[in-house]
Amino acid sequence: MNTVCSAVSTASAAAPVRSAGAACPTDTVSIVALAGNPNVGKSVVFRCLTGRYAEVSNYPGTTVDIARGTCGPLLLCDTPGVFGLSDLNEEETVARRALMDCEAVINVIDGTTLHRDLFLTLQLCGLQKPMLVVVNMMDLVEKERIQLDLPRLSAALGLPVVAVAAGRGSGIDTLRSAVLQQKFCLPHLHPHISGTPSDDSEALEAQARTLARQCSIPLPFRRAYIKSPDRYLLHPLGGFLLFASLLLFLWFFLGQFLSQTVVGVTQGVLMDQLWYDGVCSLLQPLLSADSLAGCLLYGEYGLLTMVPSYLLGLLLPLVAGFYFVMSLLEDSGLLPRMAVLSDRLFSHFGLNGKAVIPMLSGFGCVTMALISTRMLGSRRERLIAALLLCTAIPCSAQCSIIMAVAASLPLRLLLFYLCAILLLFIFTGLLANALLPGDSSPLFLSLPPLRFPQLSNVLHKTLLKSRSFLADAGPLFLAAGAFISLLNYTSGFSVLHRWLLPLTDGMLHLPPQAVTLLLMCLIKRDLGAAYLFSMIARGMLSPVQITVCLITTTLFVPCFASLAVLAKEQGAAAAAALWLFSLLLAFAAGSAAAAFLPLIA
Amino acid sequence: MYLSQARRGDVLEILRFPDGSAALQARRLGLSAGAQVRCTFAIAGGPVVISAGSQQIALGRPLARNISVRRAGLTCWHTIPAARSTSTLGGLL
Repeated sequence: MNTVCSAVSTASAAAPVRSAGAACPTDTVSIVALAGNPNVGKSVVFRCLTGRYAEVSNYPGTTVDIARGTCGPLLLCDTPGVFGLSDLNEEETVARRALMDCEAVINVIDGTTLHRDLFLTLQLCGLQKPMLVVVNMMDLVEKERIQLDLPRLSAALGLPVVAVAAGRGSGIDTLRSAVLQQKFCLPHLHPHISGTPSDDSEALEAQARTLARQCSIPLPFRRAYIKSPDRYLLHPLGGFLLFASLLLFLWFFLGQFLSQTVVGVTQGVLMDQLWYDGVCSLLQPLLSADSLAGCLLYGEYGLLTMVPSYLLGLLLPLVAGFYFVMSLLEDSGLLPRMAVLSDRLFSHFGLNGKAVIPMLSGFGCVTMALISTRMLGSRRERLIAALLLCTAIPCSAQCSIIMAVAASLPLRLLLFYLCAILLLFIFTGLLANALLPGDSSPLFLSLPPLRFPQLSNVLHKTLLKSRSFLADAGPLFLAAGAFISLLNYTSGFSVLHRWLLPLTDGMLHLPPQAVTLLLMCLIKRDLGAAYLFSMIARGMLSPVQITVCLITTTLFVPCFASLAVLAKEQGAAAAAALWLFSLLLAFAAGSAAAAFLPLIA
Repeated sequence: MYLSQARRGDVLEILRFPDGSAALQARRLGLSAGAQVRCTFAIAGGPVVISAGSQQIALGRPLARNISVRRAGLTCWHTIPAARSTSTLGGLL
């Protein structure tokens, strides 16, 4: 770090400000776009310049939407990371539109991969907009002892170049003052590269390679990769151990610590004792418990009792804990390694290894994961991934409750549940691959370097995602609380229980309250998971019934929020088909388990 | 030979990339005919991981089966004339 700091001061003293190209008239630029390859640190630069947080992860494709913020009088737009400006995928389309609309461009490139990043730089030069080039990751450049000739790069492109290590905040002051002083220049390529930037991608790649050769000196093939942790992480056995240790960590962190210790305090003490008693003692003199308003506000499913107890007491600590672990994984660069390891497995389902990223996100929230299926290459792959997500992937609340329940469940029942879900996951994948026409795209993935996650970024991301969970789930929980309270008040439940008795009692061998559970799962999976937790806590279910409930609710139809996203991403017909399939699968598997489990239990 | 036949540690020169979007993607990452890469990992029946410069790229087995390569001597990824390092941090150049 000392060398980095000294480099800043040396650079500031020694390197005069020089505009290599045609200067852009100042005070004319008001909208500036940040553009660059995936995972080069655009979002970190954006945060440094604007103070606004744009999601940062150590895997490509984090930014799909455009984040906006201000830097002095300028409006800055953080575009999705792209390798080129075509319409190969959604990110490129979004980025290209943003670049067309902006007045100037800040091109962020990774100093360790100039030969790759300059392809986009040259394409951006072709737009003939005022530009500024930011060479990021200079700490890694120093660490890897790559020699960069940045004055030469600046002269060749005819653009000002700023070197920064945004992750450490080094060089950011210089960059900010350059942006505020609008040191943007129109690109002017040096004749020894080419007179004009070419549209032909082959010629452009040749130009980028020539330029990289002139401006950087990479070391010969180093043995670093052979010695790096990848040696173990990408080994099938090492990968298996990684997954196993991750599951073990999740087990202790979510299943033991959060579900029991933390939830014991937040739900058991804060909500069920302090809050519930407070609300009841306050409202009971004003509203009778038998009145509609009393039932709505502080009844069993009341807006002031069940909703905050489930949402804040039970689910918020679990979901925040899950997002914390996911953020650690995202920032470390382990997810793309998992994609490589699982490529062979997913190829049997007509997917490639990249599908592991939405699948793992699905353990957090299926709705969010359905959006992230966009990173998959074809519609066929997105459809298969959506099918797997909607059927056999439990969301974070379900996962946490499964882990909490698992401690009290006999081992053979727990193993039965895990095997059943795994087998159905495989069955669904194989079936979809066999039935859906078309081919899948092979894996093509740039692996980001492994990094130690920054705690501040992990906490920030956890906070944002938890807040977004509350914003999404809160209104639905309130609506569900009101709806179920009304059903309860008007004896609608008794009618439903009677109607669905052949299903709950006849097929699933569950008590009539299972109708409420299914209804809650239909509205929001987390809500169903929370209700299941309370059913178990009240001793309403035997171990066999708990297992049947876990299987049925894991496989049960996607909740309303997921269904809306599914319809938007895959079309209404596909969403309806998926919904029906998961409904049938859930009841078929649940009733089979209900028939078979008493024999082994 | 094809990339799928490469073993860990092999230094290879790419001879031909199959046409299509993979070739376009590869070109953007600096991988085209003539580029030298090193096979860093080859997972049995699974992807091949190559390093090109300081980046690592994982290519699925079906794609690797269609990339023609030949073994090359141990050299730099690209040959570059030696020059004094002038990398600086923070300076606006």
